[in-house]
Amino acid sequence: MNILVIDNHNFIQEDIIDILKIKGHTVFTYGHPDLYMHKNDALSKELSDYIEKNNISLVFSLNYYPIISYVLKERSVKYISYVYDSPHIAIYTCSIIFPCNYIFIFDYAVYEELRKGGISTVYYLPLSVYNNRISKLINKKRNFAANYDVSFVGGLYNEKHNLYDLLYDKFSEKYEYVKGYLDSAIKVQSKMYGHFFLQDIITDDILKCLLDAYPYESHTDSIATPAYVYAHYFLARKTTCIERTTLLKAVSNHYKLHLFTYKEAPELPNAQIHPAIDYYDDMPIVFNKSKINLNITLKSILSGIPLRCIDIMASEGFLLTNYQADLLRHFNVKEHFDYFEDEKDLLSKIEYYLNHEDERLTIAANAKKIVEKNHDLCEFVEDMINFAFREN
Amino acid sequence: MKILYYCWDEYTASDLFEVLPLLGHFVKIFKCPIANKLEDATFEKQLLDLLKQENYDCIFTFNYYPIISKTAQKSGIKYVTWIFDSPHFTLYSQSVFNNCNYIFHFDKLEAIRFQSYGVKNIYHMPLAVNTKRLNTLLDSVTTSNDKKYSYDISFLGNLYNNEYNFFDQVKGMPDYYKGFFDGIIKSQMNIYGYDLASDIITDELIPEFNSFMSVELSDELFLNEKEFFISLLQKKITVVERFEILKMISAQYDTALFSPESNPFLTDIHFKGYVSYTDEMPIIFSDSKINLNITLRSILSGVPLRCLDIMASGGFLLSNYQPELAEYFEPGKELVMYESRYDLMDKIEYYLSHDKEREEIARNGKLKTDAEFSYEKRLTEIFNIVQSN
Repeated sequence: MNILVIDNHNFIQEDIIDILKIKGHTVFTYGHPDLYMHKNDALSKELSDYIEKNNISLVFSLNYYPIISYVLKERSVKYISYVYDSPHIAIYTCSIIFPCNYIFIFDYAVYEELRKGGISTVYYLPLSVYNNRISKLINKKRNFAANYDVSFVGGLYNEKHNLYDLLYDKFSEKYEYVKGYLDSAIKVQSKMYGHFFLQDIITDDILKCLLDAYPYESHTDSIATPAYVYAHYFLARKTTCIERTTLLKAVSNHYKLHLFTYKEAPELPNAQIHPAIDYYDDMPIVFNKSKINLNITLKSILSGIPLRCIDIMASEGFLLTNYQADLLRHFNVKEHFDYFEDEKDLLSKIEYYLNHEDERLTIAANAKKIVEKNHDLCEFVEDMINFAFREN
Repeated sequence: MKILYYCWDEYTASDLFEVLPLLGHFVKIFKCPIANKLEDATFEKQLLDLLKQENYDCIFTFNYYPIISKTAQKSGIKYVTWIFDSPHFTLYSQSVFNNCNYIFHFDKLEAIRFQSYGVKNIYHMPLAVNTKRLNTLLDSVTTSNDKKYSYDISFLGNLYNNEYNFFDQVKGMPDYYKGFFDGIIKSQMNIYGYDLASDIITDELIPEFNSFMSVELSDELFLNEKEFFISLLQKKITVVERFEILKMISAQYDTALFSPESNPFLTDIHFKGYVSYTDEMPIIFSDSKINLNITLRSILSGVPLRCLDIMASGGFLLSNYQPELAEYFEPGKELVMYESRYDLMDKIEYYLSHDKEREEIARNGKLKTDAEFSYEKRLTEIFNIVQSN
């Protein structure tokens, strides 16, 4: 089958292309900087022509693009989208209900909400990895020397363009009240797992101030409200920034913390900072060679398992993460991973697992086995395609 | 036992006067105003005189009076106290460490907290109701089996409009901190069974707060400013929460409010004024399809007396999630708890339209309360502990 894979520079697209080729499909790739736009006639025409010319029977993208869905609806070509971001505002558009769509969402809470709203084109599918590739890499580098006590791979969301900080800077003095209001609510949310309430605290009055300070205009066909966008994009990121900084600071004050990140972290003077690492070649090795791999999920991921967690487990690394409801759907606590409930709990679990190597190694080995069995990208890709073509 | 009962006109007093003698205790009632709960020479002298006249085994009060503990300690007599308020600031008196004390606290987390401060004789003891009195009263008003209700939804309780608006009275509070407190309040209202204020009000913030508000705490109290601010905030949360929930419910359903005073902004509510605890309240509970309980946010885990009152009157209880309610009762079978406002509205809608299920739950709630939460049972437990030590 001729399959078009959308090139949007995401982590696992190379894996997907490899997998599709191995399965005997002819793979085309197509990318365009304006794909995020909901309407662009020239681009739609170009894409439509491309699909016709190459006789494409299926388009596959990581995350979802309304503009592609519009084109495929016209052409009656199937569209598989594997959503790995949450929030992913593009799914809150009218195009989501088009029958060409097979939208696989990794965050069960989001999937459930859409299903309750009567959307039948969405399905729940956790994230998965190319186990074959990761195993080969790890076996090849068994003798790699690095050995870390505690590792964290990821950003602190302390970048200058943090949306919340932009918003915050724009509050003039008359908005001191809103600053205080959001600061305390974010502080509360940063300590809370399993319940995202920041959208609920945006009252009409607060929303008015937010819109005034940093206007947000939604796409005409979007059903995402401004309160949704402020909460999930602006406030959630700031919450994650505070949470990651606070927790990692506490960890680095007591243990050897290795932080693999793309920018400096002056907030964490006691952590050893490493430059960002390559997803394909280096990351599995770091996970494999760390005694404890931390995951602190982006707050806007409501219940889903971040790709990072699956990566860690697939690399036979030991995963210590915050609580995420979906983890318990697929894995067993203390058999495949462990989670912490707050800062105190995190520190005591690090202490425990650093001193219980056997237990740690057993958990990591179990985790690898179950990920190979239940979260394999090869199988998932095949399943998604079979599902999309099941009626034919 | 020979009990000297200090009565401060708490509405639970008459039930104890009835039940304690039934359990074989001799009860002498003592009433006398206390000018200062920490130090009061006139009161102390009166109490000492009484203790000299007769040979009592213990003094009993609802809630804790430091002046009584001090007098009991001097006289070498046991002081038994059953706490039904939380927070209860007088417990922070140094006298709480007196070994004459037998303190029974209805809130498990508070009891544990005071144990952690080194208070030895503090026990967790849920509250109770006078089941016999209630059954007699209810039997006298029940006429037929075909139950008619006077109210759809009832809420009986204080709105604390004037009493607890400490934060509103602080002059010159910077806008930032007004927002900061409101942000905590709004967040907390989304969350049940977990106290945020204690997590967010950290020691570092206290000097900031002191720049625009301060409290003067007696030297004798070991309560610190942080704990005091937290309890103020918890009360403020309750004020906002009770108002907002009642506003939301009354806009959609027939809602009756039984309270000393209403709030002018609750325009849709049927305000019924103050009712008496012993004679009127049980009838109202039994006469309402749904009885709402919105626990004071400062009660972290305990079962409020109001919940027991409702269930023992055969009323259907719809309460916020409260840890000890979940521990002692079976949610969905003996009572119903809500976890968010959406959930609350859903459950009101559901139970208003499912009479049989609702009445079954009310019946089960009453059976459990009668069996497990009677004064006979609790007072027996209390005096067994007092006598065994």
